[in-house]
Amino acid sequence: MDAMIKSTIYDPNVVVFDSYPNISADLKSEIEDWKKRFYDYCDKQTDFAAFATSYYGSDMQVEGSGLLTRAAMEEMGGADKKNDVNSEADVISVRDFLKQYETGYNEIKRAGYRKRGEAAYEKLFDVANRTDNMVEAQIILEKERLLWKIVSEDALDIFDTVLEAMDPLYEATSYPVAAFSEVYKKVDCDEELTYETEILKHEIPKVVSRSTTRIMIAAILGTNILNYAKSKNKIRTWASDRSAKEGLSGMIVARKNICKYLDMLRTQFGWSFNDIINDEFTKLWLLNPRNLDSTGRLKRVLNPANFDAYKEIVDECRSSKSISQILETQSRYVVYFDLDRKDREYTRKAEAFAKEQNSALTYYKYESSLKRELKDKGVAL
Amino acid sequence: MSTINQVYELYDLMARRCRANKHSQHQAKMYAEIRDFIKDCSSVDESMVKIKNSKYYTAAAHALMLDKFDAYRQAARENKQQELEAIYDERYKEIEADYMKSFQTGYEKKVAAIEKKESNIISAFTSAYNAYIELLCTSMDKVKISQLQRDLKRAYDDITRVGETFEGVAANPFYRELIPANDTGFKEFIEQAPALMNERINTSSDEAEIQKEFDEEWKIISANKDKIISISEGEMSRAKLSAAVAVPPKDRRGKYTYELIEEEV
Repeated sequence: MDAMIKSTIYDPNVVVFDSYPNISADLKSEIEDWKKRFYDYCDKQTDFAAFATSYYGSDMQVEGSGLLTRAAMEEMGGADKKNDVNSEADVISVRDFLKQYETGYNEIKRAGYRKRGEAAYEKLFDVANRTDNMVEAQIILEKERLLWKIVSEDALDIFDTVLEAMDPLYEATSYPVAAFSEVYKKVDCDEELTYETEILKHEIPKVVSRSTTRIMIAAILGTNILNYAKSKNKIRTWASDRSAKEGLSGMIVARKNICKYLDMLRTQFGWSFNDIINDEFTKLWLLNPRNLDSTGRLKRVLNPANFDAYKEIVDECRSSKSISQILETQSRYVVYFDLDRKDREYTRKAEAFAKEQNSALTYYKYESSLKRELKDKGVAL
Repeated sequence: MSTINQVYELYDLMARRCRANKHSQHQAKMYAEIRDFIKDCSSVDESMVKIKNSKYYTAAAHALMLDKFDAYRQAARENKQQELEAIYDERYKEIEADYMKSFQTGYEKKVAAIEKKESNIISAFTSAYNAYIELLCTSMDKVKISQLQRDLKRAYDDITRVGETFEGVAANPFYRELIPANDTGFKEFIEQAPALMNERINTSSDEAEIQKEFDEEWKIISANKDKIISISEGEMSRAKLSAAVAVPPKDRRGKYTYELIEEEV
């Protein structure tokens, strides 16, 4: 078993049962069975960070916690002689009972950014300051859903932190995170979470797939428009008859492709070019976006003035004008192609700009510190 | 000192919370039964002993497991995932008959296999569609057309490999919803895609049409070269290379802003 998993998750969760020596033989046997399965479960884990996050709220943890509650209740209610009960004075204190959650708390505290989760745990521990009566403590836990909140609030720390660092219009990536966040805000117990996440797991591919197709549709048009404009420029500059001929043939093919594309848009989706250019997210993909950060929040793109030029080109392509008539008319807008000599320098500037823009976001704060910690340990990402 | 009233209150609270949640009905029933079962006890100790000596000793944990697998089963039913529903139904019935079966594993592998198959079909079916629509708007480029046909064929074969048919997948409402096409477009996709991936796409009519247009236009523009270049001068003097950074809005209702616009002459 991984040493970190053993020392921070396995051992504390097993040792805590030693506090209840007077429980029944039946319960002892159930606990021993759980301990064996818990050992195998921990032994299979290789990624401590992922396991530490997924363990709390898992069936195994819920079962262990249930056994612990029963052990505490038995200690409170009686010893292993069925009708012989201990007095309440011998029962474990509320503070000791809540100690089982310290491992989880320490783990999320170490992460540094999981503030909602930290607050949920602190509220849970504060129950020991509110009462030293075990049943009253459980009434508080039940009324305020404090045990559920250490699961849900910590999940929201993760989902909302990631979400904040995403492009909200980019549904293919942001929708799954946003939808999980909504589920955790809505549900109140594990079985409801199970139901909602199963429904969501089935819904996500639909949204992601439709969003991805939309991106592809815009990218196809963007490429054809740029090919058209590039070919037109070849004729405009007329470096040689050969290059002008290449330009002419390129313009004819690109125009044909654009017209076929517009037909495809109409027959497949019932859309026109306006549906692409008027959709805030879809039109971005006409500008050949490239991610500037790890979550694709900021993107390097072609000059957005191109939108006007693209509209003009699409109108030109579907007009009845011949290519020669088009060439004899001065365009109102020009297409801006990507940088050439300044490309590398601009990439550096744009990445620095993205870093600065993202610097206030918790996700990126955490990401940098994680990278720094890894570097200190001699690991480079 | 805990009182029997507090224990009663605790079970009552749990019963009421669970009753209000449609996914916690087994627990709601169980907690209500336990609450009523200890109603006449005179002390906490007595209630604990009474529970311990009864069927209610493991009943809460049993009810929790039943609620959980009922939730899985209901979700699979609503998602129309019959194979998954059957697995969860079997699990539910096993646990209903014997609480200790809650801790048996093995069913997860069956679930993972079904989910993997579904994920492969999703990937193949959407790839087929994306290749199809790109084929619809590609002329002349024989290399690209062949590549897209290969993509379409690979996707089709991937569907067959997992034991399904393209037509069967297309008829499933879940897979239909992956595709943003309208009904007419989707029908055309299903009808045309199998033929498109196998047949040699004839580009000769496109080629002939393009050659004819090229010949006619070349005559005109080469005769008007000076005029075209002179018109172009104003346009080309405005042409620049450029890049920008798109910054997303805070929420889905907002718009991108474009920063750091750089030009190169």
